[in-house]
Amino acid sequence: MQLVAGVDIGNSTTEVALAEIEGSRIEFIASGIHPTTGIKGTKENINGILSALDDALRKSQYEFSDIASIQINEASPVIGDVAMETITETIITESTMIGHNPSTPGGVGLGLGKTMAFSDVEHYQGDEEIIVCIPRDIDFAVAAQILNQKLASGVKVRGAIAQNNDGVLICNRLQKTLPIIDEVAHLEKVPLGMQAAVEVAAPGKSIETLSNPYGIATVFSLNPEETKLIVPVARALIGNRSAVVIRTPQGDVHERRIPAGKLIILGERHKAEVDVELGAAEIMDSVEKIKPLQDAQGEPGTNVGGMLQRVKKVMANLTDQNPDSVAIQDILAVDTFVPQAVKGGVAGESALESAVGIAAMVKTNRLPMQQIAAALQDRVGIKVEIAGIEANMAILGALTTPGTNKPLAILDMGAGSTDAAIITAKNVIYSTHLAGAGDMVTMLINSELGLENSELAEEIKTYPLAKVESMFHIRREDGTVQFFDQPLDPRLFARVVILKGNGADDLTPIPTDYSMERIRMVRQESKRKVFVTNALRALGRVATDGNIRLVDFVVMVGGSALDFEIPEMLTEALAEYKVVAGRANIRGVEGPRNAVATGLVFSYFYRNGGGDK
Amino acid sequence: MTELNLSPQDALSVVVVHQPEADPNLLQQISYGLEEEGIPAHYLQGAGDALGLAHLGASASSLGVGIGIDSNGTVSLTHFRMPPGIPVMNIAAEGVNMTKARMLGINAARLVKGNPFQFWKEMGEEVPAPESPPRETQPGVDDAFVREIATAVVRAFKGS
Repeated sequence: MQLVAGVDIGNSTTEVALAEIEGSRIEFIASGIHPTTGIKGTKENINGILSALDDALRKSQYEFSDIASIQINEASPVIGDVAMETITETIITESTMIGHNPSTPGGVGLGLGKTMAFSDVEHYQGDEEIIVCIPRDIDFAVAAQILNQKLASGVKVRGAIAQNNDGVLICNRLQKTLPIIDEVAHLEKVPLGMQAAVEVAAPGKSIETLSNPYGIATVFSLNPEETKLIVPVARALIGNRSAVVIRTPQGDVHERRIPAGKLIILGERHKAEVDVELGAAEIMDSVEKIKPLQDAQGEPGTNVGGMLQRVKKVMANLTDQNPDSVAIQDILAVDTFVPQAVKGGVAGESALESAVGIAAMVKTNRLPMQQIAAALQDRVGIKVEIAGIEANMAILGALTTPGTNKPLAILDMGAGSTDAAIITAKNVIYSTHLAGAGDMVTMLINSELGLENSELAEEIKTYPLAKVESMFHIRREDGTVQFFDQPLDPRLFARVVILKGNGADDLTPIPTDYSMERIRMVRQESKRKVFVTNALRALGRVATDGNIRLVDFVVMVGGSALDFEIPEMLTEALAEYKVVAGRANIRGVEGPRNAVATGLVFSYFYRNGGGDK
Repeated sequence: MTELNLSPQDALSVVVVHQPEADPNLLQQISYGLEEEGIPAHYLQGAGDALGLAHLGASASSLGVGIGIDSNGTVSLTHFRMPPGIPVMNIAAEGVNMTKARMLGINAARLVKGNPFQFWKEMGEEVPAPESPPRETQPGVDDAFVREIATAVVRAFKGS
């Protein structure tokens, strides 16, 4: 009997499979896992390997010295990175709109008039319709008193813009209901003496006039040309409960396309240039036409040029190569949007700008596994062998999932790249590596929710959400309710939180006003855009004639297979192709983990005459 | 005074209970905060510390939210399901000002409506509750007792 250990050094975890082999009999007895120490492919990995081996041995009756052979894998030498570029920009010259959404505006209705400073209103007796601007230092009681006097003496006050959060307080003290928008932080930027429209919708409704281009055209008597220019304003106000639009003579809001530059894709025979402005679909069309890629470049001096240069530089640093010799082997482009502050806005208005996210993947020189193997052998005095290519080992391991058969494809979606491999009925293995995986999902979540915090985005990606409904209970995104026996932190109250576990300490608030449904939608869409797209691309590349229908079985292994919703998404997406797809269950017990480690042991077993492959 | 009996109309509000000598300006600001958020309030006098008064108010309020103000200027906001020793939010007497009082009124309304709280600046992102360690300011109430009540409240809440 021989005791054989398969060791898989991954980017984040080192996994071990331990088996007894005797002639044509193989029996797995334990598996171990430990976080990878150091960067994958360096000698620092050895400590992690030893800990993972210990972990496995502890579950068996064996000692370190009983191990006859250690098998390690030839790591797949790919590395990926992501970047994003906005391609539109909304600019307001001569501030013309205040589209912010105070939680409690005052009054209801639509008011039209000229903007006037509060100090001027006190002495005003004319008969123009006016909108009053009330600065922070005016107490609401004073403001209400003066407005009442003016209304009583016949001044046509039609609405108000207040700097403090006291719209309701003012309104409650007026004899006549006026629309009042409050919490306008930069009231001093509101131009005076200009035509303005203030609209406040009733609770539970959103504004109707100012979110409609023709509504704005009606209010300000715009001509068709001017109406076209106002569309971005109307668009930015959709869904708000209150808004102000001010018309200034030179006022102008426009959406500008930023010249993002051209992406140059080099294939073996062809070359294509795509304008990034055209969006992800065009870019992906070109990539599919030209594949396999030799390299991709950005037009020098443009945003996309800078972006690809950055990606190459990061990867050059990681792999110790010259940036010029780094060649991009695959690109995944995804359309997305980014909430960005409107340039020239008055109250921190933001508009959704279109953007393109790009993931790139490069092949690196072989990782120095040989050195690790030699160092490990010296350290433990056990024979260490490099057994085979990662993809092949993963396939061998994946085949131990109950219910699978050849032809079988595996999908391994990690952080930086999506890897796929297929074993045909004739035992031929093809594999491919594609750009775009977990890191890209994190980037999309981060930008679409405007978080500017990629750790938080990573957590949103990894864990389900809940809404804190009282000081004592939360409602999870699936509708179930959980109670706590101690009151929750007031900072969590009424917030959407990330559920890292079941305790009160495992709740992380998400500091945005987005609803739970919205955050969930962004999370799921980001996962679909990357993982479903890439699963289809990857399978298309390894399947016979590129026909996914000819693949019978697909199993998901690795990190993303542990995700709480990605496997279901893929099962659903691949069901359309009549493919059986699901999360692996290595040896019927390990779930999606341990595929490569298990494959390594099998590989040893076959090489040494046990069973047939 | 251990229990308040309010008419159904009066109870349908955030119940503010204050010591007779409490600063009327604080009361005023709290009322403005509640008004801005559109939640009615009912005012009563009582004897006890701010947290105790808040609890009294919360138990009487059919919205379950009470505010207590003592003559030193301590202001507490609580919910009837909170354990007696722990406020939802607290302004210590030494740090009280009109802005914070207004904000506490706003937060009382938000506790009713289920909207996230506002936090005053110098509080940073600190949790307000530990600002007044309730166990030291509550002579005669020991930890075990508080825990027992909390457990009982939760059990009642879960309906098990």
